[in-house]
Amino acid sequence: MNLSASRLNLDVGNKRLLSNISIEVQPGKMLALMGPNGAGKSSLLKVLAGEHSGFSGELTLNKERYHHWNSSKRARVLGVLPQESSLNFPFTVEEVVLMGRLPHSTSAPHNRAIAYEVMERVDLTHLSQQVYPVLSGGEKQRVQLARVMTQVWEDTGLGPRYFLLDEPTSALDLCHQHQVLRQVQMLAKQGVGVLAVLHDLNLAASYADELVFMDQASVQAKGCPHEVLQPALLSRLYNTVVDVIPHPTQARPLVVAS
Amino acid sequence: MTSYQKATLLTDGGVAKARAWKGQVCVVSLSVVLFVVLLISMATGPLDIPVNTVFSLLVSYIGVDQSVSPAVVQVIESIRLPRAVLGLLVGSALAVSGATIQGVFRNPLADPTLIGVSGGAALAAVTVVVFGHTFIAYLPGWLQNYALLIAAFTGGLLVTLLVSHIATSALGMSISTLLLAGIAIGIITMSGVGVMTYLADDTQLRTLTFWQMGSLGGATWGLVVAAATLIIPACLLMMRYATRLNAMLLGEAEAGHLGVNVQLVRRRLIIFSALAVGASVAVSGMIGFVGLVIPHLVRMTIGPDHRYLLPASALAGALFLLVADMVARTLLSPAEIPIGLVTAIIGGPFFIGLIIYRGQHGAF
Repeated sequence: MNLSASRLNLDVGNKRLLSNISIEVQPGKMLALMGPNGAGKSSLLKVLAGEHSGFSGELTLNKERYHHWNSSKRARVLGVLPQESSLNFPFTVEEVVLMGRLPHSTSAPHNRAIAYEVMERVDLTHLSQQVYPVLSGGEKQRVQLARVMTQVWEDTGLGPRYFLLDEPTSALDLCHQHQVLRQVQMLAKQGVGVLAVLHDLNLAASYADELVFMDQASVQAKGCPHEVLQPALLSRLYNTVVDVIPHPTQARPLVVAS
Repeated sequence: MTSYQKATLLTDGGVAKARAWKGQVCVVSLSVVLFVVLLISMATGPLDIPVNTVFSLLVSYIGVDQSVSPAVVQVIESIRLPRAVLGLLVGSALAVSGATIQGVFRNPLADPTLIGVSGGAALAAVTVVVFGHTFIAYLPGWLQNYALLIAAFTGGLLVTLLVSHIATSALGMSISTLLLAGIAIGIITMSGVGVMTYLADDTQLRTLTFWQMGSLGGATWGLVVAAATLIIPACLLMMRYATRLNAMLLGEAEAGHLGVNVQLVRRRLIIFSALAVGASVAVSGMIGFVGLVIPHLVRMTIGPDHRYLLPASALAGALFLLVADMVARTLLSPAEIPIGLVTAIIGGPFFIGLIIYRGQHGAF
């Protein structure tokens, strides 16, 4: 049981966005998708999220072909957090978070209980009555995160759940970056398969179980942080001189750009 | 509310509950007000009928025996009641479609006019008024009376289908193309209306002007039944999509991730609102501002949740049109002002106020 793509190709116009990509999102593991801008990370995430249909290659979700899942059933096991959301209607934070329960036919009190537990975890309880459009960028991003966490919170009997996140920490301050990734990591520990597009190499090194580096539409390297965080690879990918040193207090590498 | 009570509400998860409660209260109180205004509207007119007489008559329909003079019964049953019911239908059709189209376009300032339905209906109706004499005589008798109505409805629907066809490519329907196509086709239909107006003779011109400014004056039970068979199902169907419409406000991709078939839902909602608006334009002419102002006002009161917004808009739209019609037929009595002028005169300044408020209080 996993969410996997093999030999994936995607062309839009005459531009190749994905070239021969094979990737597996395992339940209970957190995978960080990394690489320079324009490498194809978001395109891959969109294919895995079901937004693109014009690709070739094989896509399976929990052993069944991806397109055999109907969209509302798929939404019970697969949550997606997009890079930015343009909601400009005055829903309250709580109403937005509760929308995550739309694919499920659970009772209203049950849904509210989940929404409140999630809001507690991402530090939104004090904002629950606020109107979404007036929130700051970082607060909006946490609301959207809470919405998708609410969507994949419980097992639904359809197999393991998956959570795809496109740059979940981009608008967050240091404290909330760690808070959010801790929550996502906790979901992974409960058996959810996580794939997150991240830019911060050190954040990825401290939370992800596996790192996948993409460049020029294809996968360049994958493995655990110790294996792939190599100065030569990073310097080549990012075209910047990079040093990798042991972290002073934790058992993980620390990347320093110079 | 004390801060302690607020805190309890929060931990209970009671905020959404509180807002839902507000929505329910709004729907119930609007229904009550609507009923009272309906009584008043049937009591108002050239023949003064006391409100309690109207009430007695209505009560007699549900089997309670009441004595009401036949003349009064005649006035209410064949003139005022069909007119009021038509007003209720048209008002709710315009408001519910407005709210739905605003949701589909994810823009609180959108209007059913944007998808071309009013323009198409107007062009077809005007064509029938100007050239009708050349072919109406050949139509079967039962069709002759409804030729204008059927033409307006068909015209509205055809133009909407054309606009959405232009906006749909292999990748699905694009909202911005839909908007542009709607504006372009709107200009074309309006110039068509201009050509027809130019060709019309004096009597036709009077009919045209009256139709373009809207009126409930032609209400008969036949018309009410025709409008109701289209408007009621279309409005109920739009309400069935309320939660999916909520999700679509998050964004198309997001709604898709929540399991909503965005293309399908959007296409259906556009068709349903074209049916409702087409039917109302066909029976009452062009009545502006209801579809824009009413949903906006309701949203400001109870929030954007379509589960409450759509029913409350239906009631508020019906109420607004009933009041506007009362003004239209009593203000310069015995002359009658076109109802479209009344809604525009009330709605226009109101809308400007709303825009100013919006500028000062953020995008609501």
